[in-house]
Amino acid sequence: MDIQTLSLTNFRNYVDLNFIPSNGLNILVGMNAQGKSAVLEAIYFLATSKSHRTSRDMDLIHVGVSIARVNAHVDRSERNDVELEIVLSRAENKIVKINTVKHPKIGDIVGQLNAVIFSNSDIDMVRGEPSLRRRFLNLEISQVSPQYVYALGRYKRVLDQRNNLLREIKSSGVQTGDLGAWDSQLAQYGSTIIARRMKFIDFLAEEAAKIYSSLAGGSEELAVTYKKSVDIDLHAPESEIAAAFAKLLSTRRGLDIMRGTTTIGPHRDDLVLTINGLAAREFASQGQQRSAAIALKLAEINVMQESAGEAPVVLLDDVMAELDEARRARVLEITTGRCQTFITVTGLEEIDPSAVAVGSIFDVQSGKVTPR
Amino acid sequence: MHYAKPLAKLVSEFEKLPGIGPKSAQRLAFHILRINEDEARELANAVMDVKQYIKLCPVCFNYTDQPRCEICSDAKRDRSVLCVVSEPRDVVAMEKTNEFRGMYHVLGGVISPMDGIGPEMLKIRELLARMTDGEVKEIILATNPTIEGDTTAMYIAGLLKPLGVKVSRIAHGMPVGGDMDYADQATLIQALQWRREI
Ligand SMILES: [Zn+2]
Repeated sequence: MDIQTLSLTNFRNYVDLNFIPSNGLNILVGMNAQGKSAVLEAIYFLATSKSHRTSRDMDLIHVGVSIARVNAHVDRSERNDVELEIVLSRAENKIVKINTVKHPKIGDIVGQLNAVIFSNSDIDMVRGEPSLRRRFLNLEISQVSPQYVYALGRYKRVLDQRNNLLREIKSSGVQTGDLGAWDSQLAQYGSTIIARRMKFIDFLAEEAAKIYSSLAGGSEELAVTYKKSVDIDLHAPESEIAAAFAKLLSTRRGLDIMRGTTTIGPHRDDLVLTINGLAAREFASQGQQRSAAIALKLAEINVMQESAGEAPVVLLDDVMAELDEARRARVLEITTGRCQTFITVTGLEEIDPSAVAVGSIFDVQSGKVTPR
Repeated sequence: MHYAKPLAKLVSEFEKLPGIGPKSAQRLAFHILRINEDEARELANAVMDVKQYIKLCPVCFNYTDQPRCEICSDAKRDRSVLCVVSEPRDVVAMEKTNEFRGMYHVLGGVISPMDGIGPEMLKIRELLARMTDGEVKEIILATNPTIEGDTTAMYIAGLLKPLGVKVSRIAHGMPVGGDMDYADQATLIQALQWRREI
């Protein structure tokens, strides 16, 4: 899968960019705040409909204008080529177009283009709050499963409604008859989420463990497990998961009413990382945490390739300077010759001469991208 | 913006309407200014007539200007099948298909805790009351396939199950998360044919 052209209009500091990358390694060289990361951000935005740097879409629109546009032609080997576009507006909701056809749901664009992004905040995934790991799971599984996107959207809505109802019951002291219907809706969409996460994590764990031990020289072991609300076997059918989840909801009903919120479900689950049996979040060194984060991301490339049938686009956003030589080499080894890759660096000395030799180099300066 | 008082009043009334922003409200108000007096009176009368003559049918809770709505008073319609919808506009959508010959029941909304709408605020008690004479053999739950529409259907299905009546839910072919009144007729017909028991 690779991007043939990328056009940006009023996106970040790009007033008008037409960028034609190579289908191999693309090295974007420039000082900070010149727009290197914005190119990667735009690609990731088309893949997921979200930015990896901000949760506010308005930040993406060039200062002083009201509409921004991101457009790309994507070459795919397993599916037809596709043209993707997102239009951002200060006045209205963003618009998604696939092959120039406007889609009513933003989520429709997710999965058209697969991308894995590496950035400096990846380490927070290992050491930060569970919500960051759930976000990782949601973004990554969404890219390979439209069904997951759908279930996630429906789940959030049911959860909102159920929490509203729980607060209402708590304050009025009267149980309304519809709580059971909300429970079964939550169980239905929740079970789809849990089932997809179990399969994803099962595969991710295996790949990440292999990659981690090669990064750490084989003396350390990374284990990735899914800490889920429902105790259920990996191969259980969704109906069984839904039944178990529904049962759990009914046994915890009193507690949920008392707290005025839903205390169990995939919105509370976590991805647990351990190194040699110890929780990486609390006990790992910063170096180990960084390696674990990279192992997860590299593993994700394999998982995505397996699900989509072709390699994803890889985006390395200012991460090279943070890595030691061995990890840098490993990252490039896994991606080179397989994935269309975009790297941002402030200088070519940040990457191996062998990579520089095969890469296409672009200078990025104040919103202009020039091939060298 | 400074309008003469009566004009300002009209603009602000239009602004209260759903889907009308300040710009459209202004455009509508200026349009009214330009039309002749008869046209304006006709519009005003139409608004007042709707308020005066349109009531809810006491049987199905659809809008009507009669003591009982046209569908409920039509002797040729099949009284053994009842189609449950959330809004009167859904009856209009269903009727346009010319496929359904049964009766309707309009709930007047869907269950939505975040909007403060609980089951007791919908015409659900009235629906159960319609079941007592045993004439209705089948119920089609045709609320929109939104989260709230689904939950409402599920809740009603739970109440109807013990009564031994056949309960089905339209589903197939409906655009996901879509509204019934936006669905094209072919889709609706298909949805009706492919209804499943719940
Ligand atoms: Zn009637």
